[in-house]
Amino acid sequence: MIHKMKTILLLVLSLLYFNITALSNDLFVIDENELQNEFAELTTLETQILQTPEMAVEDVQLSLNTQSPMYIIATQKDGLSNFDRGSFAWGFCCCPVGIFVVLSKDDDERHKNAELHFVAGAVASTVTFCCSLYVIGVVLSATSI
Amino acid sequence: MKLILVFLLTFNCITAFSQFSFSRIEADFSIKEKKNDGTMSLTMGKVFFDLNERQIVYQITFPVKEILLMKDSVTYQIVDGVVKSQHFTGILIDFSIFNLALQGELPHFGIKNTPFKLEKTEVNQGMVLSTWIPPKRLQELQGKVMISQKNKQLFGMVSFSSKEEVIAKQFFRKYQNFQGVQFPTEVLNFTYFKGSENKKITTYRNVQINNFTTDIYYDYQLPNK
Repeated sequence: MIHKMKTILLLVLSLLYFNITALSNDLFVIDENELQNEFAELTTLETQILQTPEMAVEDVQLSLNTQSPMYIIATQKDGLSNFDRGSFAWGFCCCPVGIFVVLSKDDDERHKNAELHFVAGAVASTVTFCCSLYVIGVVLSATSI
Repeated sequence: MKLILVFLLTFNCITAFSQFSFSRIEADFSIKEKKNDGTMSLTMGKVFFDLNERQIVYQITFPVKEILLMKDSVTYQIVDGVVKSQHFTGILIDFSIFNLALQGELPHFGIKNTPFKLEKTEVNQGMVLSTWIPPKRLQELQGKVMISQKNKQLFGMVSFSSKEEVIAKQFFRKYQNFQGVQFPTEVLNFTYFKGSENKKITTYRNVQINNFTTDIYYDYQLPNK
């Protein structure tokens, strides 16, 4: 009876583990087809601009239906001021987590570390420099003899 | 003896120069974005980053010609050589994809050097998944962060809220080796807020490392306001 219970418990735990692992992996799955379909129009426009770098917003506007969700790109005559600037920045920087990681760094700790690294670097380079000078001196004196 | 002398001098030179191996990166970029209200946008241009200048310069060519300068936690919008606006955007330079790639910290997103604590690591289907917990004082704002690696390269990052809800996902794909720097030429961003989703694809082309032939944008000076 106890043996059976142990087996069942082991089975449940194994299933639970595999389920958790599967869930973790699911977080990193990308639906390629959905992504391609959603961005098809923009990809076409991107290709057009790459082929014709002089293409202006007005040219795009002419080729778009005002009902098109992309029409917005042709109405940004004030540049990025109307865009979600924060969102733009995230495109280059790694996720909102970046902010939290930066916030979580204690400034004092950073300064202390920087000072420590500077001192360590200075000491190391001085020691290396002195050693090199000593070796060069020894070598030169040996060769002159 | 002369051989030893030559060896020492060469070693010193290599050590000195290796510290400055990768300091500059530039690339053409395009950002395709689909917002939660259904609208879409496309931004294209060129981006420059110099490790020593500690600023990111975006020379935008589409939809409107302008320059975005990210420096000292502020983003400046510059049109025709005049600062049109400026906004606080936080200290993002350290965690920009450019800084992390040049410093060789992209595979772990530089999170190893932060107060985030590694909770667990698991290996499954060719991916290494690591879970990181924020320090206690930030746990009300931020939940755990999961990072996945494929072939020792950063593949994905999932950020959770303190209520264990996914608030953002980011994927780094199509890596290429540019003069020794592994750089993802495609970055996908998904952000979730109150049930809505923003999607963004950033593509990098013509990536160049250590281009010292021009300084114009690398050390771009903020014009007088």
